[in-house]
Formats: sequence, C-alpha cells, structure tokens
Amino acid sequence: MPKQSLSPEQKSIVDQWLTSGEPMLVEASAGSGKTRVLTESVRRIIENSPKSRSKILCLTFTNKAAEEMQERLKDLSMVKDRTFIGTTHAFALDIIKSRRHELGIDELPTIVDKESDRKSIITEVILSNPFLSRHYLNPKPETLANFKTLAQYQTDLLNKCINFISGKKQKLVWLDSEADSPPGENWTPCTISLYKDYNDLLRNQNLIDYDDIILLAWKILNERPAVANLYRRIYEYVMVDEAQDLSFAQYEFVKALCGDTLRKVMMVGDANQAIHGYAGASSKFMTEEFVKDFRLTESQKKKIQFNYRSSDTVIELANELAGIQQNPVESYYKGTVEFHSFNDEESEANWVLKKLHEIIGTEAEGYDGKLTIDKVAILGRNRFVFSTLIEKLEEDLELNDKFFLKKGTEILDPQSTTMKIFDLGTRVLCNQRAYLYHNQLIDILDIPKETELSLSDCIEGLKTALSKSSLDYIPKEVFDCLIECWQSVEKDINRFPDVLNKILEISHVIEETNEKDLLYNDIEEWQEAWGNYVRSVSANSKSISDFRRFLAMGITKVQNQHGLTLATVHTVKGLEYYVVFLVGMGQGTFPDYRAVRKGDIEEEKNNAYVAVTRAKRELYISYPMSKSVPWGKQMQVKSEFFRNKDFFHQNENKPK
Amino acid sequence: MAVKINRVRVKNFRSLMNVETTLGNMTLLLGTNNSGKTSFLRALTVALTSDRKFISRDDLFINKDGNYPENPRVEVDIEIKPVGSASFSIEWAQVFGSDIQINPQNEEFFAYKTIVDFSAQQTEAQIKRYIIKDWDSGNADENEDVTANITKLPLFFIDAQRDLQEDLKFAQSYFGRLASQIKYDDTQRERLETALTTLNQESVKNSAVLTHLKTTLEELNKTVQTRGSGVEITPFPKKLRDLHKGLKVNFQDGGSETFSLEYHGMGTRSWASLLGYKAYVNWIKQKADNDGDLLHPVLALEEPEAHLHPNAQRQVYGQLKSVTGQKIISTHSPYIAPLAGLEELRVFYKAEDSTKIADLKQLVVSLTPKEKHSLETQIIRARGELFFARFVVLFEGPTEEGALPIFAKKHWGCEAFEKGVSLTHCSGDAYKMYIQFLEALQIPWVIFSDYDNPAVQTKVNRIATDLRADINNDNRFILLNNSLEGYLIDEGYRTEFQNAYFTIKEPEYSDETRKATERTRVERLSDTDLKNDNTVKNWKSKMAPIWAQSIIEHANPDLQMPQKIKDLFTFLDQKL
Repeated sequence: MPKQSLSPEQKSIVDQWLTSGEPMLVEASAGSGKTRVLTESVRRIIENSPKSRSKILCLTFTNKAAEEMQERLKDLSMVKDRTFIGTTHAFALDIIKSRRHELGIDELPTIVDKESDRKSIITEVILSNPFLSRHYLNPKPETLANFKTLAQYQTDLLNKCINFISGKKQKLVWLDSEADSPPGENWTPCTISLYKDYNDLLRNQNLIDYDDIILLAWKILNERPAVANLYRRIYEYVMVDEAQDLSFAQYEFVKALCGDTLRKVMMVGDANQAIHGYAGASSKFMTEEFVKDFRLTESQKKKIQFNYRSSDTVIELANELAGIQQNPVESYYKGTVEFHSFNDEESEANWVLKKLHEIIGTEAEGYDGKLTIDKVAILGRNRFVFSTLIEKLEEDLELNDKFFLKKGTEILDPQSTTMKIFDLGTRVLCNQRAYLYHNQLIDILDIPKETELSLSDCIEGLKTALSKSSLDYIPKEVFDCLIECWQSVEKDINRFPDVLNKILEISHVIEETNEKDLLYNDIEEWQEAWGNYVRSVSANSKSISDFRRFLAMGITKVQNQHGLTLATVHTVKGLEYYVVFLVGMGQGTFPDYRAVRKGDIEEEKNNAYVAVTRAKRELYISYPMSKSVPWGKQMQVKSEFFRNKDFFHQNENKPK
Repeated sequence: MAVKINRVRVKNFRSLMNVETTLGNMTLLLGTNNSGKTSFLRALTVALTSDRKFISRDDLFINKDGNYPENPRVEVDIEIKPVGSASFSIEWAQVFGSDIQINPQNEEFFAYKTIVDFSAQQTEAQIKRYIIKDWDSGNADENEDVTANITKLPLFFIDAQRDLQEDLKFAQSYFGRLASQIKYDDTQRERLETALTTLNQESVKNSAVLTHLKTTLEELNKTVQTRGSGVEITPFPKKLRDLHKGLKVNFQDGGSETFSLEYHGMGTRSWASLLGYKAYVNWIKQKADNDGDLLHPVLALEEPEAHLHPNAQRQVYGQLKSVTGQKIISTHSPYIAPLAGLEELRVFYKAEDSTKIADLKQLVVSLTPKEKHSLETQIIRARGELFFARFVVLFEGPTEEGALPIFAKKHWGCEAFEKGVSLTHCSGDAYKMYIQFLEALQIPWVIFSDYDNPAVQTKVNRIATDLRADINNDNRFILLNNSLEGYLIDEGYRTEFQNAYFTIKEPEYSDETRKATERTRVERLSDTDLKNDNTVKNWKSKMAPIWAQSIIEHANPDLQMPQKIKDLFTFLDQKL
C-alpha cells in the first residue's frame, strides 16, 4: 500500500511524537485512523533515517493486526530490518528464545498450546497431592450437592485451578520449589502447593504455558538490567496498538523493557473498545499507569476525535452507546441505521438474505463504486446466532460459496487418529522431556499401561511405541510411513510438504472411511499451516521445533477469506465494512446473559460499540423475538443497548 | 567506539583439529611451513565471508590413522567484543541486534559458530551460522541462526603471491576496486576528455609510424563497408572511465631513473600490492566514517616479507601497523617477528597429527617490566631466528661457539640451522630468560654446559630447580663437568688441541728458536697444567674452530667426534 496521507489532526500527533522524542498516549476512537497513525509513524521514521539501524517495536494485539501493519508497510524495503511487528507474546517469546539461559533453561521450552493439555497437567498435580486429591476425588457431600455429577464438579474444580494459576501468572507471581513463601496475600498451603507443583511439573517437562511467555520474558528483563539495557539500544521506538487491552503483565513487560531511558513510546488505544477484560486486561494501564509511570504531561495525551470511517447515522448511534461526542470529519454520507425485529431466527435470516440480494451489485456514492460482497459483514455476539443464517446461505444458489465464518486464532488440532499420532510424534521429537505427550501417544495408540516404554531415544522410541499399538483400523503400512516421515522431518524440516504427500498417498490402505475423511481434512490444514510458516520465516532458520512454536502461537489459521464475512464481535477489531448486519441483538444474547447476571455490563457495551463502529455506511440491527434452544423455543426482548429504539417488526417467510 | 574479534576457535579444518586463540589489533602468526598458519587465515575467511570456493571435503581434518572426524564438518567460532567498554556502542548494538549475549559479568559479546557441513553427499558444502551463548562450552544451539549483519566485518585475504603488476590488470584486486571508484564531476570530465582527444590526435599526427599505421588500418573500411567513424588510434585512454585500465605506477629507486613498476623486482611489486590494499581499505573506512556507516576491516595476510630486503621487511611491518582495522599476519621473517610486541605473537606448531597454538601471554604476565625489557632487547631483537627454530642448544662460552657449528656440520652434512637447530650462545645469567621464552614458544631446548665451576653450577642448578628437574637424570642438561678444552684433553685429543695452539701462536714468532722453545714448553706440560696454562687459555676462542676441524678430519672415523658432542647430536636426532 502506498504512503497514506494523514489528516491535520493525525499529522500533528505524529509530528509532535517524532520531534519531541517523548512518550505519548493517543486515545483514538473507532474509525479515527489508529492504524494509520501507527503505520505512518513507522514510515516516517524509516524514511527520515535511512542509514540508521535502530529498530522500531510495534506491539499489536492480534497476529491479524500485525499482518495488517506489515501489509501496509511492505513497499518499504527496509521495513523487515528496521521493525519488529508482532504481538506482545511473539516479542516476549523472541526474548525467551534468545535469553532463556538467563533463567537457567537450556533447551527451548515447548508451549502447552491446548487447553486440554493444561488440564491434564493440573489433574496430575491434583492427584499427586494428598490434600488436593481428596478434594478432587471425594468432595464433601454439601459441596457436591451443587453439581449434577462428580464429573461436573471435577471439571469445575479444574477450571477454578486453571483460573487461579492463570490469575497469579498474570500478576507476575513467580513461585517455584526454591521459593519459601509466595508474594502477595490470600495464599493457603493448598494454593501454594498447587501453584508450585504445577510450575515444577511444567519445568520438569520443559514446558511453558501461554501466561509463562510474558512472565518469563518480564522476569529476564527485570532481573537482568543488562539485557533490558541491550534491548533499549537496539529498539529506539516502541509502539503499542490496542493499548486499552493491555494486561497487567503485558504492561509491566513493556515498562521493564523501556526502563527510564527508552522514552520514544506511543500507546494507541480506545477505552471504549476494551473488550478483553477476561484476560486481566484493563484500559487503566494505558490511561492511568502509563501516564503516571512515564510522567506524561497533558500535552502528551492526545485524542483523535474525528471519525474517518463511518457515516453520520452510524457515528450518532455509536456516540449514544459510548456516551461520547465524536466528530465526523465531514459529512461524507448520511448513511443508514435501521432496527428490525422478527418472529424467529428463520424470519430474520430470510430478511437478511433478501436485503443482501437487494443491495449487492448496486452502485451508490456511499459504496465508493459497486457494492461487492466482501464489503459486507454479518456480525453477532457469538457464533450460535449464525446457525439458521448459515443454513439459509447454503441453500442460496448465488451465495452458497461466497461466505465464510471468520474464525479467531485457533490452534491446529488434528482430528484423524493418524494425524494425531503424527502430531504427537513431532512434539516428542521437539521435546523428549515432555512426557505429557508420551502419555498421550501411549493412550492414543492403545498401548496397555503396564508396557515399559522409553521415548527418550526419539525415533527408536516412537518405533517401539507404534509396534506395540493395538489400534486395529490403522494398517501397519501407515505406521511405517509415519516413522519414515518423522525421520525425514527430523533431518530436514523442508521435507515437510513431501511428508504430508506421503501420508496422503499411504492413506488409501486405510479402510475406515471416517478416518480417511478426517485425514484428508487434516492434511489440507497442515499444508496451509506449512505454507503460512514458510512465508513467515527466513529460509534457513526453519526447524521442527521452530515450526511447532509457530503453530503454538496460532499464526497459522489465515483462512482464504473472500466474500461475505460472518463473524463474532471479538474477531473484527480494527476491520471495517461498508454494510454491517448486526444480528441476534436480543437481550441475553447481546449483552450476554452472564454479564447481565453479574451486573458487569460495561464490557458488553464496549463490544456493542465495536460492532456498531465496524460499519462505514449502513448498519442493520435485528433480533428474533423467539430463538431455538435445545428444549424448544425461548422468547427474548430487544437488547437493552437499544431499548429506546423502535424496531420495525416484520415477517419474512420465504426467501425469493 | 570500536569492536574487535577477540577469540577464534577452529575445529576439523586441515591440520587445525581443535585450536583456540585470541586476537589483538595486530596478531603475528609464527611457525614453520605446514604448521597451519595459512589454514588459520582461511578459517577466518570461512567465518567472516561467504566465500566458499576454497573449502571442500578434502579440507576436513584427517587424523594420523587416516580417518575423518566422526562429525564431518568444519567449525569456526568467532567472538566479537566491544573495545574499551563492557557493552557495545549503540551503533554496533544495532548491527548485531539481539544476537548479542551478555555474560555473568555483564560484558556483552557476539559470538557465532560457522559450520561447514559435509555430511550430506552434496558436492557443495552447506554453510550455516549459529549463535554461541557460552564460549567456553564450545556449543551453539542449532535452532538459533545468526541474524546479525556480519558484513560490517569484511575480511580481506592477501596471499603470498601478490603482485601489484597483476593487481593493476584485475578489477577485483584491491587496487582495481579502488581505481574503479575514480570519479570526476561533469565539467572536469569534459575538460579532461577533450584534452585526451587532443593528445591522442596530436600524438598520431606527429608520429610518422602511427600515421602510417592508421592509413593502413583504414583499409578495413573498404572491406567491411562500415559506416562508422572509421579507424582511430588512441595511444592514451579515450574515456575517463577506462582510466584505471591503463593505470601505471612508476617508481624511482635511489638515484636511478624512474621505472614503471613492471620493471621492478618482485619485492617492490609485492610491497606495492600491500600498499594498494592499504590505500583501498583506508579509503573505504574513511568513506564509511563519513557516511556514518560502520566498518571493521579484517586483514588476513600471508608473509608480508616475501621477496623483501630485511630493512624493507621492517618497514612493511610499520606500514601494516597503521592500516585500519584488525590485522592477522603470518610470517617467517626473523626481521619482522622481533618488531612485534610479545602480546602480538602466536606460535603455530605441530604436535602429533595436529596444530597447536602457543602465545606468550603467560610469559608476559609473569615478567617484571625490567625482565620484559631485557627479553625484548637481548633475545627478541637480537635473535629473531629463535622464533623459527625447531630446537635450541644453549651454551656459554666462546669455545663452544667456535666448535659446535663445525661438529654439527660434520654430523648432519649441513649447517645446523638448515636442520632447524639453533646453536645459541648466552651468558649463564640469561639461561632463565631464554628458557622461559623457549618454553612459551613450545620450542624444545637443551643446555650444553661445562658445569665445571661453582659459579656456573649455581646458575645451572637454579634452572633445574625452577623446572623441578633432576639435573643428572634429565636429558635437557648435557654437562661436561669440565671445561670443553679440559674435556678434549681427557678424551685424548691433546694433539689436536696443541696443534691448534701452535697454528695460532707460531706466526707471531719471528725466529724459529723461540717457536721451538714454546712448542717444547707446551708439550712438556702435564695434562692438568696444560688445561690451566694461561698463555694457551688466552687463545682458546680462536683455537676452537681449528681443533674442531682437525678432530673431524681424524684418521680414525670413530674418533672424529668427542663422545659428549656425539651424545648431544644423537639426542637432537631423536627429537627432530
């Protein structure tokens, strides 16, 4: 993308930041061109100092946002050498990768990337602790009374444990077997041993969880000032995007990196769009802590008020929601905001389809030309609101192959047994200490528990394991092929695509059709993941463990996203569409009933604000008065966010 | 603030099975032929450039049993450190980026391993570079590639066959690279090219030969029917961009006429080639400095002394010292080595099947400033050849100095130095210094001593005590327990000894009577009296070569060398 012009408001901010060399907070409301301020700052820095080798650190909230920034800057030849553009986690992992010996870690740890893996580690911790295991296996009757089954109770307990541990890590609490007493309050002997044992168990297997990534990187910077000092010389500028969603740990990490000397920091965010509170994030780190710690004066706090994106009516509604005053830059277009209610989801879906057919292909000034289908999005609070709509779209002869359900970051999780084995094998190859994966492999191969197996000798171990398997629906040829494949990728990861083809070829010997079907899908996903990996790394730094890390960081599922977007609100931050349908806008759905019960409506409001401000020109808000639930129909009323709006009621029985 | 290559470690490259050494601003590599100096310079090339044309499977180390190493790959480790500070300057920090490591003492360094892998059956070797986090472990994590920019430390390799005359012809030589940067602004160019045109036309017009040649060549036009401007003869370059192609260097030596360099000897041409490099590298460094760019040139140079007169060699050393960047230079020159500071010297030698490198750091540290001074003046400057000796025989006294070379020549059929043996005379007080020096250089030695009076005995005993050696059972000490003259007389060489005296003394006498009287007096002395006769003693240093010569010409082949001297040489034979 070529250089973009900045509005006078945006330009003055960039100018002030670059000339003063002082930190700056930019509160930019939706549609005010946040990303543009960031990318154009990067561009200006690079263009004004072509000979400099200093780097610019751009921390984004999602991989998607990082890709977007890179895309916008790709015409600058120096951009790869001069910037690190990525998520906070990606940058932290980079630090761990090159500085782990500061923590006495030799081998690069494997990231526990699946929630289920984390749970099985916690289960192990609980079972090996007499006190915890008693609670887990034989709860007091009065405790159990609140649950339908023991299993439900146990799941709940595991979740509580995970939340507890995660909460402590996000508070940057470091506690291992060497520490006597934990910092902070509210510890019981039980929680201390839970936390300690969990961390020890991870260390023993050379594993880290997601929360550890920030925690460990922070610890390195914090405990080795010389390391932080080095990074401060390498990076001259730090920019944080979506700063309203910084968590305590992430903020402390950025703070430790900057220290007292790195002052060229810019945080850009919008408190009204803070929607990741569940991960310990809060906009106060940006608006309060940052201002205090970096001693920002009033002139260093900037607001961009103009909305360069949306039409007047959309802005009006957004302002109403957020209770703010935002100025549209100039009245591009009046726009449309409509409210509709329907008897049921089918009726709502029919109407949306009818409307789509009506507007797609039409030309209007506000569409900047013909309205194509990729300029339209259908948004909802969760993905269940789309089920009827998807059915209808699939029946529609014109639209059935022109829509996609946008997924958030997802971890590659093979479904076929063959690929599950292959996947676990590669995990074992990367980290022989992680018996977590050994055990899973033994489980999946259906090997009797009493069989003695040592997987320390990698390939040989895997060979033995496969030979002991009692799985009957996967022929031996497939196993032989897998072993060959592991050997191949261990030697040279570049053979990965050949390896996938090999597995695909051998799959004809599998008679179980379900397995074969799943296997095809899996292979396709892996091929895509590999393609993304190859594009993202330099040619000679590829390795099997690097590939695994890449998978774990979830930078893999970049779908081929063309056509009509169906998406939940959480996945569309930073994106914009000419026409937005906001469906399922019933009370209990949006705001979510759980938030309503807790009385914690603020973040739901931010979600709605994000949803509304995605629209550039037209916004259609609708809800069905009755929705299907497993036990029948349930009535619902309009969302409280629009309680003072009149919803036009109609029935649309049949699509044309 | 600058950086330097601080340490280098090489594994499995030619004779360098596993060596490690430090480098300074200037480092001189000493050692006999085939001791691995050039291999070391080549190893640096592997680490600092992407030049791989000179490395093949044949360059893998092969042990004495003829086997390749278990892991068939060459490894070259390089450690780069900031100079004068524990941390890199901002600019260098940005060049090496997060590849920089920090040791527990908070000192920053950037170290990496270059691996040339021959394990795959490919024709071309795979070259990879990985970050080293802990130098002493010698390991690098092969998941962590070097991302730093190492091109800011370019290495320039100059071999012994350099010749400015050749350099002038090749655009790739340093001279050529510099000359190709000749630039003029447009007006200057126009002016100069007009002048060149005039010069060309004038010189053709005024020369009957050239005009004749031109006319004849114009016949070309008729046959090929071209429509061009016809034939043109240009004795001088026509375009300024071709200027460097015809560049000549003229040099006036002493009172002679100025000659083009091609008429000078190889010495001058080789020297000029070095200066060509100096000009080039100082130029690019200057340019980098002006542009705010970073550059740390590394020169790997073979034998700067090639073809040069000793005094010129000394001068070359001084000129090299002032070349910008780090210099690593191999030399065989006994004139250059002594000019270097002790810290700059690295001695290469073969032990069993592989190269070892010794440095003088330990020695330098252990010496007092006064000792260091006398080492430099008495040994290093005065006896440069010692650096290149394979074996050193230390002795005290003019008799030994006169006689031992003759016996050595008799024994080997050639001069001792041709065998790499240095027969070195030193005063007993200097033994200790010599031995420290030789030990540091890993050069074996033996003391050949009279050991016949308390003064000498004390000195030699002190050496033995320092070395914790048993003087009577250590073959590094060959003791006569007698003066060499006394020993000869005891061994039955009285006749040769007396004759030597007469040969020297008799020409002094004008009349035969006095000659006969002295002869009789000496012949009548008992052996003991003869040993102690002061008149004879006065002449002993002049006598030594004479009696030595007559002993080696003894009629009985078994008696052509005194036993202890034969022992000495037999011992050396075993060691060499």
